[in-house]
Amino acid sequence: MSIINRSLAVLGLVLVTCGATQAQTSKPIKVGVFVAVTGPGSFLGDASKKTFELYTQQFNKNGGVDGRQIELVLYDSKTNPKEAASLARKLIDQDQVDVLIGANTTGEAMAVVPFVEEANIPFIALAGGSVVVDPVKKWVFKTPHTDQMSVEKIYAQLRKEKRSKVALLSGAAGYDQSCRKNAKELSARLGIDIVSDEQHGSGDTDVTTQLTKIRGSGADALIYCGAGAPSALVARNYKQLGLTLPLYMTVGVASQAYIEAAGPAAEGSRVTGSAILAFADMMQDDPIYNVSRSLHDGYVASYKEEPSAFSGYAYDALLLTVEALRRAGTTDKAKVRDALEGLKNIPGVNGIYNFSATDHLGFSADSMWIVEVKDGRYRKVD
Amino acid sequence: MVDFLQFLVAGLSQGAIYALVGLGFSVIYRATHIVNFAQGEFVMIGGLGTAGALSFALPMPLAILSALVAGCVAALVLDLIVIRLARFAPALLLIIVTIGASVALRGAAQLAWGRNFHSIPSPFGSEPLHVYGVAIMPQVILILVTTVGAVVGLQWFFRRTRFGQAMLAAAINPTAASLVGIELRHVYTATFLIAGLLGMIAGLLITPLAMVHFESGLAFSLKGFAAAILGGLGSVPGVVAGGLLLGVVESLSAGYVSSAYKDAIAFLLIIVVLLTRPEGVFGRRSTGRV
Amino acid sequence: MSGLSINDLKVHFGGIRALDGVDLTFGSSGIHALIGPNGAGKTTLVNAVTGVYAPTAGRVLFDGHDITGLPAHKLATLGVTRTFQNLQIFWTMSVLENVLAGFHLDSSAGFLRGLLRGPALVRRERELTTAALGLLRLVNLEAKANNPADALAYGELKRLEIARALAGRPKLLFLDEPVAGCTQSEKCDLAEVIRNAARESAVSVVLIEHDMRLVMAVSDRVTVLAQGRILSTGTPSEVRADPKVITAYLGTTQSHLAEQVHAVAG
Repeated sequence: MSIINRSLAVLGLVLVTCGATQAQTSKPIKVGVFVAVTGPGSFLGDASKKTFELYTQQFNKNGGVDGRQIELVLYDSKTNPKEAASLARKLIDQDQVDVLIGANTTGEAMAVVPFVEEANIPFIALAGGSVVVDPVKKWVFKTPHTDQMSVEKIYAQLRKEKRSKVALLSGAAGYDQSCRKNAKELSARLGIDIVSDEQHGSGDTDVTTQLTKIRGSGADALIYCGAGAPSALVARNYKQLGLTLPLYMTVGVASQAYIEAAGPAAEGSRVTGSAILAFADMMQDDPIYNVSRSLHDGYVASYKEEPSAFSGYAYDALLLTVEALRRAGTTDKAKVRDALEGLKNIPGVNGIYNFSATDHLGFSADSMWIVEVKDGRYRKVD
Repeated sequence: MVDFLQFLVAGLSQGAIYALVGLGFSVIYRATHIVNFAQGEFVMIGGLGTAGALSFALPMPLAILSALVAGCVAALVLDLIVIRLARFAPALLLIIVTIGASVALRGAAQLAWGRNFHSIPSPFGSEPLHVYGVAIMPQVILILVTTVGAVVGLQWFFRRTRFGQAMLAAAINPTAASLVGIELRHVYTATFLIAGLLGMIAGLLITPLAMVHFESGLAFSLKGFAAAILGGLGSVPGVVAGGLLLGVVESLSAGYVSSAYKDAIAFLLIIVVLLTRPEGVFGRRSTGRV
Repeated sequence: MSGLSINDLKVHFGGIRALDGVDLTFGSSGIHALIGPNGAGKTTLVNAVTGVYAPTAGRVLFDGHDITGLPAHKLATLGVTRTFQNLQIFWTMSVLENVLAGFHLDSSAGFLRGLLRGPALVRRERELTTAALGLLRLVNLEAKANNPADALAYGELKRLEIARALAGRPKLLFLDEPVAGCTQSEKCDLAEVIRNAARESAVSVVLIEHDMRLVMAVSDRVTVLAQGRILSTGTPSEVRADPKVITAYLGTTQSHLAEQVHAVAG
């Protein structure tokens, strides 16, 4: 008996296996991702990684792209441009991915651009620097707000409050310096006077000297051009010196991690970023309410923490990729690129995307919010 | 004037931290002629280890103790690797080994405490004192007092204890020291433990003011090493003076010249010192005879 | 048994037999000179006994303990110490501090000297200083006790090394060519110092030396090494009369420099 039974069992197994193969006639779409899970940009990359992992799964559960599953190939670029470039090549040549997403920092994005242009593969960057898409590069798109938008948004707010004398404090990193440059360039046009321009080093553990100078500069607002942990140091030293001029931070700070790191010193400081930072203050009729809610609720449920603006960048990149693939109806790289460029009125977490041949960022500073830390949470500032 | 004093306070508190890290360099250099570039990692371990233990709801003294234990284990491992090799290897190779060890410690710290920045509360809270308009964090006073205490303690240990004198003797002439019965192996182990403790004290002091993460050690190594060569690697008072000088020069150049060039100015100072007084501002010229 | 006994000691460097089966005993008192032409193996013998080299074969016993291959600090605790041909001085200490460092093993000095500066400790410290000054008097350096060590002349530093070695109350002291670096005219005044040290400190001295005048003046016994083996042992006059010794020393006109080079090369 056993021989027959076993043969039948084996036969059945073979049939089942064949059937399974049959059902997946279309192989998965490969999305190649490199994010800064470690290194100085890890506060960005960590949120990105979590978002990609969670929502790839969710998109697949909801049927993927017209029945085709998305396969995520994700690497750690260690916040290192060289590493990012070699990972991009690996993803393109070895893993043969259909779309490339990644680069949390501007330096990494710019290191990858030449390979992307050469390989003719659509690339959505997660980096803030406007230089990534300005001038427009055929194969390169990006989702985050730029430092320039942050500055514009803050300047607009200052003018509304009849403040015009600004003190700048900047770190040494690429983002910091790009923000500082934009702040200085935009100031004249927007009627702002930069009265103090201070800087700090990357490993510094004290900025009271710089803040003391700013205190004596007559400025009526302080903008910190920086990202990640040093911003908490700035907030603390600001409180210690008893400064009273309003403290503005840019999108480089836009996550819950800032409030956790700075503790009570974060109270009252203002941050520019996506509306999702103050999800509780979003109106239901906001065109990006639903998509924000989808990210917010899923993220909180899975990771027990609030999503940051940086989760939003990753989420939007994934969303735009899926949408472009769906519209292209193929993984042909040129067609996917064309579909991306043709996306209009797509509500994302960061704003409503309207790509065009001359705009690979797709939204303006209007989609940004200024939020203020109140009782340990971000609240919208009107 | 108020601004000047505020700059001075910032410079002295930073300088005190540089001094503590620099003393760690000095202690190991004197005994082994190795520049231990893993020195800054002890600062990181002191701060992160305590923050990590606090996250498990340990009371502060226990948290500090557990960080110290972790750091001492790291110091012992470092001693084992470096001194085991020291019998055969040239000093340059050993210096490279310490750089490798610092990378390994960073990796271990990332596994143990994650990639985020952490802070620990100051025992004196976060409200500054105002003295003639100068805002001074109570923690800054703690930093200065502890640094003075550590230096006095170190001097007492080297001058007045038998083991400290043995370490001093071994640093001056290891062969002669073993002739009078000093076991060099113990001296080296003690050296690494003391250097580790100095670094961890610096970490415990600075973390309530700043924040540390697994990669913070590198910057402390650079500044501490700069302080040590500025003052003279071999001299305890020299290294302390070097650290304070470096901190104050940084702060004053940020305050009165340009915050963009403060590091450049500080390092320029070090280059000038190395060219004109290679033994450091306060170091004694070496007087070896063969 | 007391004293040092060396049994069939061999040290080979590759194919070179620097020591080729040496049997020798040093008693617990007196001055025993070890002489021989360049390359005879004198310094190799001291190095092999004091843990600088690991012997290829053989055993070294001291007061009944097997001390073969023990490192210097362990030998010091057992009462065996030495000087090197090169000066080994704590250069940045004073003359007195150099001798005080020699008291390291004196357990009554306590691990945490000065932790509680009670009267007992103060008294103890005074006693050690007195003892150190006594040793400096023995080597004619008392007047320079508070000078920095690096201000002394070569011969004075050699005497300082001897004083420091005596501070550890050794039972056996090897002096490796103590007058090698001294000028011809003075010979560092070591003869009397060595004689006084052996007598007053009750230490057995093994003197490795080239200078025959010094050897003949101070030694109680003399051993002649040649080509890694013992050629002759006896009182100075016996050895001087030994035809084998005379033959071995004929034609040995190598310069002092050559001897140094050889010693460094092992």
